[in-house]
Order: sequence, then C-alpha cells, then structure tokens
Amino acid sequence: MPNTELPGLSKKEFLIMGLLVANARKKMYGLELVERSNGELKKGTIYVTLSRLKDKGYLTSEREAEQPGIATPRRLYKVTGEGAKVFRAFMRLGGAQWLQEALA
Amino acid sequence: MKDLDRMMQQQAELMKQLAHPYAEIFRQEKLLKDALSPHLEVFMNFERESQKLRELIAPSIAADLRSVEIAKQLASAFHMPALDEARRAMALGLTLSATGREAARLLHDELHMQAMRHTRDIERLNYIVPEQTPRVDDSESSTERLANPKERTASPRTQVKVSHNVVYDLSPDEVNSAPKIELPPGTDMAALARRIFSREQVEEVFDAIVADYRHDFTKELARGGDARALKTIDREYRASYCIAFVRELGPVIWRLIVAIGVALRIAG
Repeated sequence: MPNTELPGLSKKEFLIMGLLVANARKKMYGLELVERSNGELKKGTIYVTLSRLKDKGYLTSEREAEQPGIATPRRLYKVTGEGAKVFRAFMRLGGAQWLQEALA
Repeated sequence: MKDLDRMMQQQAELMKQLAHPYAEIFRQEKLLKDALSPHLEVFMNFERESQKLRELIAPSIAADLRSVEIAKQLASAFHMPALDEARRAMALGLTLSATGREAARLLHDELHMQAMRHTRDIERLNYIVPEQTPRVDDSESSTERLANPKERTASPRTQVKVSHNVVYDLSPDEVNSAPKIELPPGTDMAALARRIFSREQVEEVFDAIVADYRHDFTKELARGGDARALKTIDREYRASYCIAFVRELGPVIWRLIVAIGVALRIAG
C-alpha cells in the first residue's frame, strides 16, 4: 500500500538530514552528528530521532566495517533518495535560513 | 658536484631508513611513559622497569607485534588490576600507530578474558563452598583443580558433593573484599536489550548507542578525562538508552494490550 501521508520533519530531524545531505559522500555515526550540530543535537535523543527517520524511509544505516583497534563497530547513517527529496522540499519552504542559523 | 649531492642525498635517505624503527620504538615508549606518568608516585621503580622494557624491546625491533610485548610487560611490571590495564591499553592504542592499536585491542581482549576467567573461578568457589572454613591443602591449587576436566564439566549437584575436596587460594573474607572486576562500559545495557528486543531492534538502535558510548568513553579516557567527565558521558548515554528503550517497548505494550483485550472479549 503506498504511503499517502504528507512527508514531515521535525526541527531535529531536519537538522540531522541537513548534516547528512551536506556530507552525502560520507556516512556518519550518531556521536559525529552530535559533535557537528553545534550543540543543537543531544546524545540523549539523537538515536531515537535517527531511528524515527529510518522508519520513515529517509535514512539507511549499516554497521561500520571491522577495523583493527576498533572494539565495537559503530552504526553509520546515510540519507536515502527519498530523504534527500523531502529535505530539498523543506529547504525550499524556508528551511535553509533556519538551518544556517542552527549550524552557525 | 651533482653526483656528490646525489650520493649525500642517498646517504641521508639510508640514515633515515635505518633510524626509523628505533625512532618509532622511542616514540612509542615516550607515549607509554606519558600515559603512565600519573602513576609514577605509586610506582617509584618506573625507571628500572623502563630499562627492563627497553632490554625486552630491543630484540624484537623488527617484530610486528612489538607493541603487544610492550603492553604485556607493562601489565605485568606494574601489577595493576587486569581490566584497568586493559582500558589503559585501549586508550593508549588510540595514540599509537595501526600496529599499536591492533596490539592494544588484542591485549584488551586477552586481559578481559583473564578477568572473566578469574571472576568465574571466584563465583564457582563461592557456589561450591558457600559458608565453610577453607581447608588448607598444599598438594593442589584451586586453579589446578578447576582445570580438571572432570570438575569443570560437573553438574551443580555433583559440585556440591565434591565440596569437601575443594581447595581454594582465598578465604571467603578475601573473596568478598577482592576488587570487583569491571566489564566494558555499556555491557549491562547491551545484555538487557538483547533479552527483551529482537535482533534487528538491538542491532539498529541499542548497539548503535553502546558502540558510540564505548568510543566516547575511550576517547575521554585517552584524553585523560577525570571521573566526573566519565560519569557525565555515562549519564548521557544511559538517558539515551532509556528513551530508546521506552520508544521500542511502546508498540510491544500496545500489542499486548490489544491481545489482552481480544482475549477478554473472546472469554466474555
């Protein structure tokens, strides 16, 4: 059954999407997103938000490859095609300025 | 003139190549020394041990696993609790080369296994002889006995039966007062999530939290962060875990309520 709901993004979700779209070539992990968000994202809520974005189909995730010296592989997140489209639509609706202010 | 320049350049290159392995050893040794400097007061014999280490390192300059040797010698030389050393080695590994990081990881795993074995030994002894006075028997140590395949594979019932034969190295007081062996951060969180949620949920949500938690924790340790900073990290990730826990549990509870409702309707 096709998803007939209108796409929605909360401020936090929008910020995460912004960070992931800006670094589209690189997959990022939760802690990295927190560090780059200029204090806008918190460790306490980032994982739930990421999980929600994944449920919406805007993100994909995979386990970090095993590397010497890394005891516990992290989870890396990447934006999907649909996610990028939704993000761009929100950017056109005035999100660009807010995002700039948030990450300034 | 050009030939002379080229020769001198070649010689300089050669010198650099020859000096490289030694420079690496001294660099790593300095890093180890820096990392352990807060403990110098406790371990006044550091210089002596360091000399021993240098002697041990020298024959294995070319060996790939030289960092393992350095770390192992450090562990045995300072008699520090196994896991403390493992965590230190892990943190230290972040500042070392790829070989050093791998070595630190191996050492961490090995020391952790040792710590776990030790804990199991103590638990087993407590279980077999809960409140008895220890019997002294010099003929065989507990470790030797526990190494006996017959005893190792014995069922709990059999273990109680053989209790009169058990010999152990520590008295019950010593066992109780022995330092608790700490597991890597987030182990309890991961274990609880694995018991309750599906594999996918654990991998997608909880493993991500625990992995970032461990990385953050190790980074702070390597930076020389104090107990308060570590506690803050612990609190942040536990909060994150709790929020994720509630969010993941929500649909399960809802399904349970619906199932109970349906069952009650059928029964009524």
